[in-house]
Amino acid sequence: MQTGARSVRPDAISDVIPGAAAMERRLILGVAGVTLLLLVGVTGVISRTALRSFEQEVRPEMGREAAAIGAAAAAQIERAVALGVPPDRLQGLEPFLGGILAGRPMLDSITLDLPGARTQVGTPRAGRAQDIAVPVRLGAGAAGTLHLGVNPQRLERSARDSKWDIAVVLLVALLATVEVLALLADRTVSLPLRRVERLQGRIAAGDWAVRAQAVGGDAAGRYLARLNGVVRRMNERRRHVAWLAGEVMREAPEARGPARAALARVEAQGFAQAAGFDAPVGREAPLRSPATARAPLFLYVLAEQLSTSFVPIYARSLDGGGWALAAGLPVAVFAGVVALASPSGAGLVGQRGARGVLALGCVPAAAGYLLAAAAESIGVFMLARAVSAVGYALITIACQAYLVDAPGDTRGEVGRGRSMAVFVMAAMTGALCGTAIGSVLADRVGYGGTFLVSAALSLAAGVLALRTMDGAAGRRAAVAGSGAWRAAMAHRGFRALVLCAAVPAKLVLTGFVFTLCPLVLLGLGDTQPEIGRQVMLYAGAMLLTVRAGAWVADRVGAPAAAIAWAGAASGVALLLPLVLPLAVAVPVAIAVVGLAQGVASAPMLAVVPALCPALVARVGVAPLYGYLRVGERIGSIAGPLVAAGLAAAAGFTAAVAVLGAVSLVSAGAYWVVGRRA
Amino acid sequence: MNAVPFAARLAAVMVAVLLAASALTVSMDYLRFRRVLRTQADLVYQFVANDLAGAIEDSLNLGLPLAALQATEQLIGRRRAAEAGTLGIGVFDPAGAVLFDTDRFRVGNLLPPEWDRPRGAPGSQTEWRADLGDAYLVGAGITNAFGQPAGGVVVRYDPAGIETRMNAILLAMLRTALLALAGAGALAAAAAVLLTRRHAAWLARATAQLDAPTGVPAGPPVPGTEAVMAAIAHTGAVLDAAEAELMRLGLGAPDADANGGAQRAA
Repeated sequence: MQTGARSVRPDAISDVIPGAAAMERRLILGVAGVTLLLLVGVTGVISRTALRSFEQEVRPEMGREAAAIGAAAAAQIERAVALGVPPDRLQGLEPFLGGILAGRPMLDSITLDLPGARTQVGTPRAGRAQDIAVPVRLGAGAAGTLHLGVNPQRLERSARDSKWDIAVVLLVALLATVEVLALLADRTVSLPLRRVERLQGRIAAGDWAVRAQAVGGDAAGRYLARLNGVVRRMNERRRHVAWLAGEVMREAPEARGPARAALARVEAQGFAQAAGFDAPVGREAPLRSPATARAPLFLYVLAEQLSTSFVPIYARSLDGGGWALAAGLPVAVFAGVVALASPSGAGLVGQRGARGVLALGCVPAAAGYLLAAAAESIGVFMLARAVSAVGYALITIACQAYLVDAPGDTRGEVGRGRSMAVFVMAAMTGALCGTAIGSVLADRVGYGGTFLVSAALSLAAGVLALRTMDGAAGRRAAVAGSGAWRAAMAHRGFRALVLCAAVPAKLVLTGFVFTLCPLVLLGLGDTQPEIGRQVMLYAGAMLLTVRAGAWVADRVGAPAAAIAWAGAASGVALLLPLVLPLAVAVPVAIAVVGLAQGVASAPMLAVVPALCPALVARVGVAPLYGYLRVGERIGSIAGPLVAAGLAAAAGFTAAVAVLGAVSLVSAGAYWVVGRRA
Repeated sequence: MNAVPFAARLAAVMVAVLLAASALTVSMDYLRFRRVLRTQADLVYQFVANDLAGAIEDSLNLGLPLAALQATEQLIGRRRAAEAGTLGIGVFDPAGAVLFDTDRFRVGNLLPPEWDRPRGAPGSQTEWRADLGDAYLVGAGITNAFGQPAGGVVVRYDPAGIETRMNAILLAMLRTALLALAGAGALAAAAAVLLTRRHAAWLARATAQLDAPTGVPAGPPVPGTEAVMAAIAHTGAVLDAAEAELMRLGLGAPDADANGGAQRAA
């Protein structure tokens, strides 16, 4: 146990102090559990009140449109009667009322009750239908009534949409605040305990050249201060021994040998070797934790996704509706620039470290948003998206490099898969929250205003990264070097990962989930919110299984199997429309694809260092992540084109089945090649 | 902040997270409901605008020019009176000149640009909506018998109805949120104390054992600190032994002993 400072391995510290690690785990779990329970309780109560208020205040408004239609119809009847036509002799009432009913699915029936005459079009529903009664003034004290039977399904659908809206808000609030909790719990609970644990571990391992920085006045701070005091006293005693030995050797030359031996025994204890009499003892290195990258990444992805719901609409409005491609082009430009910039970003990480590149990436990201807010033409808007895409590429690659570096310098049980799961979960949560918040924000502050919010949030992400992340992390993840791309693609295992796993996964995601599903659901008569909710199933399902995938990668040690089985499961799910009704098969397939891709997401990143260690040693792991990202982007761009082409040529079911077959075949190929590699 | 007890910091974190979640829930629900209400109100007034545009188109189809349709003035006046919340209704020609308006002073003027179709939209666009700040506006295009744009109808309506309903919803949500937060805050504080009790006790005992006047704890080391205490004891013993041996070797050097003693005392 009593070894010098050089033999201290950071990942062995939790073995030295098992009690502290267990205590931290218990405390974190306790805090997370209690906070989540309270969060669900508080937001649940608020949501219930919101729903009740909505029913009370908004539902009456639903009948106003029918009332306005009724008032317009009544006015025409009144005018005819005012011209002298007796109410019971009015001609053409049925076609007139039928014309009003036609093309208005909100109305089931219209009934006109006049003295001595009753005209009805459509069939009123018994029971639940809402009846809007509009008076018809016929002069001389006579009156009739126009009854409009409102389709109850419309009201029910509206109420159901509102409940889902509230549930989505609840989910978004929970996800967003769990991200905040992850950072705050890391800073408040984990950080002090880990500092205690680390200082104890270093001292226990015989390292007397260390001292905790910035100890506070709380319980952990007081303990750290005492340990600092012990280290200081030991170092003072060591200096005293050195001085004493010097005095002995000077005054009694015959005792030089024993004095030197006594001093050597002390020096072997792990004191700072280079320290002179007044030199300070060494200071602890900054703590590196995946949570420190998680918060800036979440904040940035949230900022980026705020505009997801309206980018095509904004592009079309800037273009004036003249150019058919205007809606899709900014999205394609963004994806293309991300694919091109990712490898360069990886090289930059090697030079400046992950923190520096992440903070740097926030600048073009914010500049792009500002430019987008001020854009007055589609050209400027596309330029803005391209500038933001450079930021996106830099930030995501820096985060991956940081996280791949993080496990080695933190606790042993934080594996690479788990660390990569942090990336996937932060990105997914940010995307879910950003899309949901962005759609309501844009409605309130406009598209330009939403882009300004994105700019502010991405700058905040940069500042947060500079304040919380370790500046040295990630450098070793990106050695770079020339010919890296060729070397990477010449590696059979890595090539299989890109071509048989990354590309098909995105092909299925964008081709099936984002392109074919909305079209077929629309064809089945689903409304836009219903389609949105079914597409959201993908993200929700994925979030459920990301951790499971990380566990398979870390604990079971089978990342390649997880990737292959996930590809196969996606493939089988896409064959479901062949045997099940579309209304069932589509949501089930979306959910299964989400679950499967959730399982594969962390292993796909975690497997890279183990898959090609020599390649990683040569070019670093970050450029490989960059190439993996290029592959994903190619799949993302190809997905909608392939899916739309197949659907046009052979129909929806066949198109989905082909995508499923591609996923199955590529999963099998990856399994065969990946195992050999 | 560092001097604040650990339990208090933890409770503050939990309350901050609850506060953030509540604020997010309330504000997003508020904004979503606002959108639903606005959409609903727009539908009502859009119907009014479309209906008026349809009536005007019927007259145009008889061959009369828009400016000559004098009955339009009465028509829009009646619809304004019939639909509660309507602030004004105007009819304009393809050049944007206001031909009829329930606010007479607008007649003859050009339509404010923000009232017309959105920038870049084609003249044939049949429906549009705008937020004028103090009023909401919906517009409906008028086309002649040849399908050519012949002008439009704009209906301005009062946002007060929406505001009143939204204020009621917001108040109900805020009241509930405050009550729920008060209860949850108390629970969070209690939970923080309970959760950190063992941890605080451990740190206090670990600190106290380092405060022992002899530098050596009286009893067995606090669990979890055995290794660090063993290291302290071991290194202390090595230093003690070295000092003792050097003192023994240097017994003939009284100055050195005196200086060393003074340093150790310091």
